[in-house]
Amino acid sequence: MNKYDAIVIGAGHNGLTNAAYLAKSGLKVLVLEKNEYIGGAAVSRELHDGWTYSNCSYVCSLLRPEIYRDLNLQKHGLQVLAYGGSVSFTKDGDIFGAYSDQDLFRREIGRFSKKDADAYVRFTRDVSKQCRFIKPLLLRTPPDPTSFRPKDLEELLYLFKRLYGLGEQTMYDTIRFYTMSAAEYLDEYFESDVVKAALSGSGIIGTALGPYSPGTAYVLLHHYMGEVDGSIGSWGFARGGMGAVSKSLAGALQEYDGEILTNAEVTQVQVKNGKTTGVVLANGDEYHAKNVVSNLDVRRTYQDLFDPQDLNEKLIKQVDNYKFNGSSGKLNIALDGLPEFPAMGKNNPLIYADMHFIDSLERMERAYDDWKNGRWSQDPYCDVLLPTMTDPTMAPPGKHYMSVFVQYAPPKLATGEWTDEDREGFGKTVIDQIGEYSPNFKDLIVHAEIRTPQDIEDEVGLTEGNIFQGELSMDQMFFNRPFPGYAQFRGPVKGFYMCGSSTHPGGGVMAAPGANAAREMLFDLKRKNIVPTAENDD
Amino acid sequence: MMTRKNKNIAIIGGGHNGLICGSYLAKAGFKVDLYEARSDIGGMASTRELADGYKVPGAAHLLHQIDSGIQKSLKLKQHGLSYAASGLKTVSINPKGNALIFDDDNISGDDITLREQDQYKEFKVNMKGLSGFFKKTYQSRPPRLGSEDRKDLTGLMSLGWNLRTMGKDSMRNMLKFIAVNIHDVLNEYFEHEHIKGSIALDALLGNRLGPRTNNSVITYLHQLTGDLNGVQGSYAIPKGGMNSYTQALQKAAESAGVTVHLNSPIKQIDLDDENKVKGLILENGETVQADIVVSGIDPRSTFMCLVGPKYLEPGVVHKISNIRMRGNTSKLHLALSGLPVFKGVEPDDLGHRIINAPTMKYLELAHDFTKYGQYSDELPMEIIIPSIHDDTLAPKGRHVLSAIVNNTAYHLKDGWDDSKPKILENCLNQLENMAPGIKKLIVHAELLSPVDFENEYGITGGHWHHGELTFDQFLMLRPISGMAQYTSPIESLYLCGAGSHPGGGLMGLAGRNAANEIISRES
Amino acid sequence: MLQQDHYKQSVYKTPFHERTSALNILNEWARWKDYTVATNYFATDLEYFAVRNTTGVIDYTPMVKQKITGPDAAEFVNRFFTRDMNKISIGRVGYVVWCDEQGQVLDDGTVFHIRENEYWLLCVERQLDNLGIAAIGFDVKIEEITDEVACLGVQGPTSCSILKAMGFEGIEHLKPFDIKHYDFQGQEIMISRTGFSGDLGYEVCMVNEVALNFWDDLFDKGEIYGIHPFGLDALDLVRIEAGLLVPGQDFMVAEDAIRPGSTRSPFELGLSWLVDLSKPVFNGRQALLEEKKRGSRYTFVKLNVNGNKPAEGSYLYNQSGKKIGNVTSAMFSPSAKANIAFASLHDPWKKGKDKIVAEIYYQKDLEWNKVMEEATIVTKPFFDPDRKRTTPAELY
Repeated sequence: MNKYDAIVIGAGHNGLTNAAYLAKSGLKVLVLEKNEYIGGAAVSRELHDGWTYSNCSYVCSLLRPEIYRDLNLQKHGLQVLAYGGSVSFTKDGDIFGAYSDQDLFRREIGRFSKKDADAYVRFTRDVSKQCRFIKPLLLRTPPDPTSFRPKDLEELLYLFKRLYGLGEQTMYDTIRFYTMSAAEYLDEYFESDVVKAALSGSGIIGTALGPYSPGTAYVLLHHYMGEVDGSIGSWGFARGGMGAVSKSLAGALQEYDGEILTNAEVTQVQVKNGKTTGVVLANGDEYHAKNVVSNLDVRRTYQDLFDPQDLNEKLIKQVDNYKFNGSSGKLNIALDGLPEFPAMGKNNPLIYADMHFIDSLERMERAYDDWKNGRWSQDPYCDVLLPTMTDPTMAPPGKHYMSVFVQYAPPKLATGEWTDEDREGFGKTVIDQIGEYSPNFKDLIVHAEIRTPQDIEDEVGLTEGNIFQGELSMDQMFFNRPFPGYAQFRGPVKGFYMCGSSTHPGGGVMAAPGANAAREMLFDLKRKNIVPTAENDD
Repeated sequence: MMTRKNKNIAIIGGGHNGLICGSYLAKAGFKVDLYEARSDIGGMASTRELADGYKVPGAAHLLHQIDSGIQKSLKLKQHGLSYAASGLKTVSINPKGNALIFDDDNISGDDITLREQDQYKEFKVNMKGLSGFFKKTYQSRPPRLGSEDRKDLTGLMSLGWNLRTMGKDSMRNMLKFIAVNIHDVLNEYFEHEHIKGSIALDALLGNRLGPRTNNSVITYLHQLTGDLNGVQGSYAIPKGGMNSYTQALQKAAESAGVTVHLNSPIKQIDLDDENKVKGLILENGETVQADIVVSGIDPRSTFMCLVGPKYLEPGVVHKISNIRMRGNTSKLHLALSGLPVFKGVEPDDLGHRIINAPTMKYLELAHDFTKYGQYSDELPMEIIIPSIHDDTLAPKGRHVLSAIVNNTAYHLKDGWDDSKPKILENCLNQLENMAPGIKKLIVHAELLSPVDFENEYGITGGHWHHGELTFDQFLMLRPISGMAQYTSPIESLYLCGAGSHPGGGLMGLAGRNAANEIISRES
Repeated sequence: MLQQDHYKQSVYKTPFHERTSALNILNEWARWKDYTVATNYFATDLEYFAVRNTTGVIDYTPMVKQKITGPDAAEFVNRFFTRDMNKISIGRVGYVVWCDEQGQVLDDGTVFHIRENEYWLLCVERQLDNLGIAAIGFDVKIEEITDEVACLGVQGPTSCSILKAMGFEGIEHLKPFDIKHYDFQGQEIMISRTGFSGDLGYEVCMVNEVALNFWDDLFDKGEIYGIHPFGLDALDLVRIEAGLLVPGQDFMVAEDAIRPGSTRSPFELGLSWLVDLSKPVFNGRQALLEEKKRGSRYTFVKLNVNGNKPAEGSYLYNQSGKKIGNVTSAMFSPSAKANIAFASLHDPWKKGKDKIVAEIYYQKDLEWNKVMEEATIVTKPFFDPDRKRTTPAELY
């Protein structure tokens, strides 16, 4: 029997979330995955004997607690372990540690500027205000601002009321927050370049913009939005690697009798009389369903799976113009022991935290200039973590796994496609940077997996290796995501939907797009909504 | 009872906005005195003596973005405004000598195909549609958010209404593009690098942006809002030099009853014990009584220098000190012994607007230097030779060249004193490449930096538009939130300069909108 | 300048720690900003009665201290704080609040006008950022001196006698809110007749080096006058009786507030006497003028609640059962034998018309019970003895 109520293309975490909700609602659901493993970019893979890598995404920060709870992910094996803080190493041999303890952190800022230490209170408040404003929107469907349908008008009214409820000054602050550059925004609070650089790191992750680019300030939110066990601002590791997230979602799906088929690459979405009828696999197998959902990004979906005749001209153009701007690379490194960071001293709790080796905004911006010019950053912004400090199960006892997220690496180099040599060169740049701050680091390396945007595209299927399935810039956010007119998860063909990070609210291991899409599908199918909305934070 | 007739208004600064504001106020019956620090009127739209017998536009060198409503109601034509040339074409040159010619909505040259011509037409239609929304919102004061005032509520509603009635596609384009950059927009329309570079320059000129910098869509749409003889985004050169525009404005103002005081720099805005406006104190110590003071100079100078931070709440001072006004534009002036020959430019086109913006990448690279307080060897320019159209500007057979040179940051790491000769040299070398032999024609050359503009015209940061035009300094946030309605925390002190909505350019809407606000509040 | 390994010590000890820890037989401590301070030494009620009956000593070194100096200092403070600072002459202390641009209270504290062009601000939250922003255009220098100055509160009816016995001549002539500088073992110390207790009492600021000697001398001379240390728990009792607010408990510090409507203006905290709208400019003035016109959202009141169950955290209702506010601080006053509370009231409560009923939950034998108790508004502090004001101060 190849007939289902709904077929989900791609077993990424959003596809699985979407499928789990559809199955929970009582639909017969099938998830089709081209790789032999599920999870897409949320995976745990043993690429070197004894070491487990979270080889794409590496932390849980924005995984919606409402979904976690609702799908009972804990029962299905997910355990998110909190970690906190970050540290920036400076050129002159000092460190700037964002300690979890508030007073300790304040005193640490005070080492660079006493005034900044006090200003941090104001900064936290202002960003938290924006968090509070934005958080409920993550699990809501954006309205179409051009529409006059009651559902859209109601949602617009909700937004308007919420915005107005902020009060005059905060409304102005909100406009500014969403349009200013991280650098300009931070300038209104801080004077120390080290402090500003440390705080703006979260503003450039996954984004092809430098900290001097307007429109990067709002990404400062990310740092404050992550929540683990309800404590705002903290980030966490999935115990056993990010694959645990996908595994638990698959567990939830299977509990509701959903099916998953791996090694099953979809090559076409079948359309008849403007309606979806099913999909065809690479091996020629056909599966039928009136509802087909794609977890892939918009370009993969519309350019690879559809006959252009089934799509309208305008959509084809919108897909063409959709910006990916892949900008990140990744190194996964197996280490024979714990690397030393002399500047940090022994037993510093920051060894559990994110480590960065950039101490000024100018260095970050110059790293971005390299990207613009088709080179990987010669002095990159790296987000380095030792997940094994928190979760020793990922490596043999006493050994460590290091995850290095690298900003920026272009999807294509000025010289053309990435070659093996380029990949080695890229890896060397990153390893050299870390080696500058850790004398024994290079000697400890047992194995290193180097992933360029090209590799991420080839293996995971993310176009240009963009970790968010498309740039999260203002023209591709909220009711513009992925494009105006298609922001409500429905595709151009009846019965076809999108549920990946190309849709609202975008990338990160949030599971929100998958859940949001499920809500809209259940609405269309006239079934009761079972997708949770955001918990009230007031 | 106090009526308009016996209320004295003192306007600070005789730039076009001050003159326009004064004219409307005088027409409404106020007694208006205008104080200008310099010996001639016009501010940034003035004429400058370059060398004996050679005159150049001091700053702005093209009439552009004029509001036709103001032009008509102040009868500028009757007051002597006429054009030496209008409907100027844009000639975009590149190193290969392939010039691209933009003539209103048509493009030609540099292997332009029919398809590209169509793309350009489509692009212009769409952009004019979007800038139409700007144009409408520019005609009145921006509303205060969260206010229960009827005027603010209707202002907000009409904003929404104007957006909704643009049509579905335009509205969607607006919401998509408004906060992003011209680079991404142009990539959606064109493949031809030279076209993209040339259009992008319009968004960047006078601003501190690269094509990829978000906010460059706003600046692009902004410069499209004006019209000249009904043609949107058209360029003209006034007869008798740039200051003939402001002289016409001066005549209009004087005929409306404004008294203009030249050589009258202001030292301080005089406040009473309750921080209400009492009048002005001039640099020479003279005091002038005024019931209302309107400042046409930039908001930073107005509040930090003329009022003084001590008389303002700290929150307001903080916001004002955060206004970004980092000038990025210099002027290059040449006195020439003859007409230069630009590579690839037909002699007939020499009198038009010549720009140097071969690709977006070229512009982006220039901006990369700016970001770090450095300068590129290759600077984007807008060049005109006004003496072709107006023989009063140079001795017979001789010429003056005026170029706006972008990406020369106010804050240079090496400082302007050391950098200026080098930048001038770079510019001349660049020109020599564009117009071989031009160096030999040079009788006199000067470069005016943003620092020079700050010193000469008193604009903080040498920023022509009195504050960068970015989303966070736009509409109800211009110059800062709470002051966007031309009012200020100091009772009876108003703002009418380009630092206020809708910002810079020669349109004069800030001046007129401010006048309207004052009339409705003070009557 | 801190070293980069300062993380090894997250919490500091005050200069008095050697003594306070010896006396803290309960070993009960709390964290107050950067420091560890005693919550209780031997018994909360006995510590409380030491303050009310003889003398209690509290280590309040963690209180944030900022020094403002420079030619524009007077002008600067007058624009920063809401009240007329010209009235606080040299040698005087003033209770102050200050606001953000929206007229919402950032914090409260005391300003010490130490000498010409020198002021100290003592408060709960650090203000370098706010003071720094406000200093644009003023010739002033602002430093935080919290860690350099050790502070003790010496509070209670016999406090003056003890200080006099220590040799501080003329101490009894200090009027409330007066400051006097004395020499103590070759170092200048500052004594002011101020405090949180609502009784006769003094506060002493000194350099860290003399802290232990001062403590020893104080307890040595104080022994016959019944001197005892008291901790934060007893402090909370005396300050409620004295009618004094605490930021972070009785109102939200505007700098920390995230939700709209959670902050308070000075008017909404019953502090309009601290606001001088006739001053031409100070931060929040425009907003406060507008509030005057529009009316305030909240009213702060002191309550005398029926019954003997403290109304901690209680919801307040009017006679028709509509919610009209919350209690922010509450206790059963041992001195007044009254059930007292601070509360913030809002619509639809009408002054003089509406009743106030507190919904009080309390535990007896682990069982939770609820009572609804009527409360009446009190205008004077619950504890307000004459000796607090009498000058010269009472000596024993």
